[in-house]
Amino acid sequence: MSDNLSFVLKKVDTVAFEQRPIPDIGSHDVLVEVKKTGICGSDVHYLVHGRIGKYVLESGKDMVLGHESSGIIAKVGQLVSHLKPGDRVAIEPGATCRTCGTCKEGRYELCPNIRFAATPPFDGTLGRYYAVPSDLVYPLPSELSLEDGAMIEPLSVAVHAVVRLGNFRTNQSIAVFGCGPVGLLCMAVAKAFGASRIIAIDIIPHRLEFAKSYAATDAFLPPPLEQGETNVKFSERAAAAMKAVLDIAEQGARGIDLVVDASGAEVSIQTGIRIVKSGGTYIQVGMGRPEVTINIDIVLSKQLIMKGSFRYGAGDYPLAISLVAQGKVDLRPLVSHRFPFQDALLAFETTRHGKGSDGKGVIKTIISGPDVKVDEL
Amino acid sequence: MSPVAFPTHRAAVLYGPKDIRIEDRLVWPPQYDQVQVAVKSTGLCGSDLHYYTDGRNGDFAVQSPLVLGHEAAGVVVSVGPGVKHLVPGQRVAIEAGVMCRQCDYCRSGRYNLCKSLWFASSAKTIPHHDGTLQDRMNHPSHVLHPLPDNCSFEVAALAEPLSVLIHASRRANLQRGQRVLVFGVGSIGILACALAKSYGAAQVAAVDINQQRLNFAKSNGFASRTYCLPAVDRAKTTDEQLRRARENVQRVLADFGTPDGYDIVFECTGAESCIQMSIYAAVTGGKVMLVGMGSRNVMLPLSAAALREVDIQGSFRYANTYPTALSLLSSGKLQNVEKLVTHRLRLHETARAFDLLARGRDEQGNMVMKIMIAP
Repeated sequence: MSDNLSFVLKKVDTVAFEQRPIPDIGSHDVLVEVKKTGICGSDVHYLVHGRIGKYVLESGKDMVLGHESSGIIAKVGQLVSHLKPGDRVAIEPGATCRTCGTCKEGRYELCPNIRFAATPPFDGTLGRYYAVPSDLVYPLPSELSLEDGAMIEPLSVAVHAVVRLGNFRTNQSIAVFGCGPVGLLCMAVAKAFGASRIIAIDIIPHRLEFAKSYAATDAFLPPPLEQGETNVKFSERAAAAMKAVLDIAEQGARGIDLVVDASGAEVSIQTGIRIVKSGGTYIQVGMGRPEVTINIDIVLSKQLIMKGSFRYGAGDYPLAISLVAQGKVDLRPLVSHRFPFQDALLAFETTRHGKGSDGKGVIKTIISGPDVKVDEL
Repeated sequence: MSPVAFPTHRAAVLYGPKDIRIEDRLVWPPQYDQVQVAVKSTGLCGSDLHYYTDGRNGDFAVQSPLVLGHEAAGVVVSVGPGVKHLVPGQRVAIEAGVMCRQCDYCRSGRYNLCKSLWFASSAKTIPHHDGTLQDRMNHPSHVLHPLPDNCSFEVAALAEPLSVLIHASRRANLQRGQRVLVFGVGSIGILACALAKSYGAAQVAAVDINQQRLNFAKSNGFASRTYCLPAVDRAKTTDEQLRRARENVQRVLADFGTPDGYDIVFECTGAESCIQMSIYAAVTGGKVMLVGMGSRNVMLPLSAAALREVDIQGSFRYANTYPTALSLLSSGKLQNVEKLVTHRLRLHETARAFDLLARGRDEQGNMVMKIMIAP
């Protein structure tokens, strides 16, 4: 097909379907015909606010949305020999410069020159075609559907947080704050890695229930915030309640080795550092308000390892795909809503409101590519 | 076509063992993402010497005329299309290994192990890529490193062998306060001593069979203790080999006053007997870093290593070391490192330079360490 129908963010809360030129590809690149794209909270954030932190969609400029995609190779660059048209692939949507010290050292996720899909000013994957370097597409084993392929992106975020940065080991215990897709996938990764205990925390009961049915061994619903109570005081109360109800200790076998915050909420962060064991690791993967108050004395006295986790890096996509291919992580239960390409805006609105027209809670919404059937997995 | 339109430059080209010819070659403009460097200084390395004397380096035989040299620095004279970060006039060090930047090794930061790596002056890949023993060289821009202002071309050329040691030290996890022993004080061994000292080693000791080199190491402050082992014929049996290795080490450790041994042993000779001694000379729980290249198949007292948790690690070239190396060289922290350059010759004398390097001693009987070739 010679058209490249794309779903474009024109400005805050304004989208349009437009034809865009089919991108040219370099000798090391491939052109992918995008088949399935999942929607992430960050995509919705750009639609609603037009920015995330310092990344701003400038006025007068527009941007194709979407970055969690899979597709079929349409064309390969001259020097690409390990892929061919027709191959089903998952897309890692961030081309880096490969020449800066950060890239050469193997921490390419921190490359200052990264061209990441749907982060201004770079176009995303919600078009018919997307061009990307050939080493950033990963062939899907036959066990994986194209929908699974689109979910490899958030799964890689979870792999990066739990395995790469969290150094999670077999028989360790983990607590995950926030039962959205990333939180759920962090729990799934921990389970695949032989966790002895996986504690899910959320303030929305049906999300918590789903987490319990999906991967968590324990679920905790925090008490409601009391009138006039500060977040810090609340976190003390919530942490005490968690420790009592779930039999969590500061050290030893009942200690929590790894806490991952996938919510970005201040109270979660404050509670998280209280319940992680002495000497344990705390990973911040959830994005929330930039300024947060925490009890840094706890970080100090418990000698906590506190790390930020950003996207994914070397080895994460292959590990994610391998976990799904081996059946150690099941992505299918997470797809809650499906939309055809022409209903992309409805897909975004549904994700934003957290509930579909069917009344079902949203976990992951998948948009099919132009002319791709919704039930063609 | 006027000949004035085609500038030429000189290259020292290896046609076969001991056959180096100085040729006039056309100067080609730099291609996309390449930079043209006027090479100002090339240091000669043992691997270059192997190519010169044997026409091969281990498994790799020279298949076509090859320009040697890979320890170099120079000045940018022109940049190809697409190059934004370097300008003519900029002084740079040349990293001879060019990685693909696409494979898993490159993406995870271990580009010295890149599957498609090519190395200028090596006959490992075909077609061969010419090295730095020429007046002009076109080289990929992403492996050229700007020099600090106070770093001369000669000292910058030392960034290459220093990089080998920086990489080995990282793999060894060299820490301040450790005791370090170096077997073999050629250029690599001397740099191992200097680097260990700059890291704050509690003690740096050196062993060799050449008293002149050991004197050089001691008098320039590279090593605080030195020991000269006798150069003897190979032992006839394995048991005899190991017995000698153990006894030599006992004597050396007693002389050095470090009966427990050394935290890190840099093996910079490649000689079987030294590799065996390295294992005995390491403390329980220590590390032996194999930097020297020589014997391929070596008999090791493996249980003496394994049961004492002495780790034996290999090290291949370097990755992500040039900026650190240049910074270290220009900082003054490697005192007397410039003394490594013992002889200087010109490009047209390259063959003589290799002969000198092979002899190890000049006409006056002075020891040869590092020879630098200028245009």
